[in-house]
Amino acid sequence: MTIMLLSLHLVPPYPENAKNVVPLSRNSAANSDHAIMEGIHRGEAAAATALYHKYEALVKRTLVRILGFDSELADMVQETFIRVLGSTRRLRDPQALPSWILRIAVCTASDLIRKRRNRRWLRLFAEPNVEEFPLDHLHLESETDVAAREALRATYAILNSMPISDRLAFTLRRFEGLELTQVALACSCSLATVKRRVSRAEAYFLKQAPKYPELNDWLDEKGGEL
Amino acid sequence: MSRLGRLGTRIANEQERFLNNISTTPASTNMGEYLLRRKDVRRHRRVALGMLGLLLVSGSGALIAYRSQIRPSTEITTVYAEAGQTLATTSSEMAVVFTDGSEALLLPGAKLHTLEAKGVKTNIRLERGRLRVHVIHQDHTAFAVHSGPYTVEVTGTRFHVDWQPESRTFSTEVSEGSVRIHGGLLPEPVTMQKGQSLTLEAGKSFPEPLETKPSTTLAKDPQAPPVPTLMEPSVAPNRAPSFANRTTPHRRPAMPRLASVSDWRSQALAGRYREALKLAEKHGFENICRETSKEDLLTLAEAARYAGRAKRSMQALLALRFRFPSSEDAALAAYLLGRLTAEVYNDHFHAARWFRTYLSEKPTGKLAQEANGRLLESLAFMDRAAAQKAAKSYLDRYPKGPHAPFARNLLGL
Repeated sequence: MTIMLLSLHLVPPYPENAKNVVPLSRNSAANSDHAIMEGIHRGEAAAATALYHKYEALVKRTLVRILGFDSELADMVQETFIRVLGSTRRLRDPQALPSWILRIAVCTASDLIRKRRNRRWLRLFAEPNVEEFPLDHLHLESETDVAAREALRATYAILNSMPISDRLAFTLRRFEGLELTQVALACSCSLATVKRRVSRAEAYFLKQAPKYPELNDWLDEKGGEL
Repeated sequence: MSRLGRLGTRIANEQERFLNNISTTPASTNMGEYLLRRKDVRRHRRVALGMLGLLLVSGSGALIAYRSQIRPSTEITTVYAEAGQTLATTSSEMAVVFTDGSEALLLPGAKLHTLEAKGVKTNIRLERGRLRVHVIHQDHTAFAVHSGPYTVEVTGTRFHVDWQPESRTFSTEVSEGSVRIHGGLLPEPVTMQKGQSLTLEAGKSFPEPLETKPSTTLAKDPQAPPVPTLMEPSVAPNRAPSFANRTTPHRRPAMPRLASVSDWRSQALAGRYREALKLAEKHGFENICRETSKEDLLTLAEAARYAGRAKRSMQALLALRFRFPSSEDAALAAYLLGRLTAEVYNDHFHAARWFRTYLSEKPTGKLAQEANGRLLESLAFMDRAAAQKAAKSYLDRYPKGPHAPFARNLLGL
């Protein structure tokens, strides 16, 4: 475990050219990971608050990438932080905190998907449809917004039918833009496994995409804007 | 950039547009305090669940241990005694049948050595544990149980013997007939009658005996040998060391009532013998043997016999004989045991013994003619001279009996 954490620390949490990078370490004395961890070990609510505010964006973004705009997003963010606070004793190197949080967020998302699938299998509750995603309250008015919303729904409809491990690898790699090595660490598996999962997920996605006309423009060689 | 690369970038961009508009922080909440509180609640819940699990596991363990304690045996095995045998039981009981038809039940944890088992002469040594004995009275019967320094001599009776070599405690209880005890620390032989019990335990003070008074000097001396105590059950109900007033050697904890006795019984009465036996085994065949009535034991034995389970049938019949030794059905059980032994095991030697046992218990019983005939058949397999003698006796008693042609054939008439 220590070796893995050290490895996580050695690999920057995000590539330099990654999209939407939120700085993970601001190195301010007050909010340094070391100080936060010490405060949490002492049971200080202020330290927990600082941790939450510092990493909320990272957790929220990771969960959105994997789950989409899910109705349980707020609960999942809190669940992630509760798990982080409950496992800080196992984190020996405070500098590995961002990677640690990322892994816990991935696990939390994975557990939610698995729980829903189990419920669906039991026929007790149906997995929430992509239509249930709370995008309507975002006041999408323009035509582009509506088209984007439809494309997002189609994308997550395909992801919902994908194996969980493939979905995690695919979303972290393609949507979040992580390097394969980082995906491997976040998913706690080997690099070769991640490559295989990403490749399998991509093939599956491209096979399913033609069923959703909303994705035509987004997958077209010429279409769409960057 | 690949198609999926472009798609990923666009999706990430679209999500980023809305991310800032989605709040995951409850308004007016101190998140740190809230999260720590929820973490503690979860931890306490886990601890409580863990303790509950531990409680359930330990409770189940205790229940299993308790149940195994109140069910000391799982099966009664039957052994025909031979000289020089050493028989021991751990958690089960063992029925020992002697050459003269006498029987002994070796209770769990007991060890027995057969010194002599020939005809009506039987000498056994109880190394440890408890033994229930039923000696069939015949002419010249000589049955002796040696336990430690003591010897119990009987001619025809039922009694229990217990010998604990660690504490050098000897006890016996006579439920029928009489026995004579000598040896060890007894200054002179003691004769015990029906209902009396005797306990000899080293290093303990004893209540006043009724028939054999201990020496006062011996009782006060801590180094003194144990003092015999002979008690009448009617006057010594509270004296712990003795087995007076007890009908069984070890009082077992109350067994759970068998709720499903009628199930196997109704199946047996309906002629569904296999189902009956399956149900009986499911609910504990041995427990049924211990608890059920003698009529049900006979039904169970018959069901087992018709289901092709001779061993189970014998088990039920032996239980009947041990539990209801003086009943009509005990003699019937002896007859049925003889039939089973002959028909299923082709063991005519022991079959003859069972038929003789029946005839000694019920010489003029309803099945006496049939038992004599079957005895004749069994003897014909083993000893022609004995068979001819029995044939002559049979023809004298039942000249028109079903075995009369067979008897005449044996005699060459």
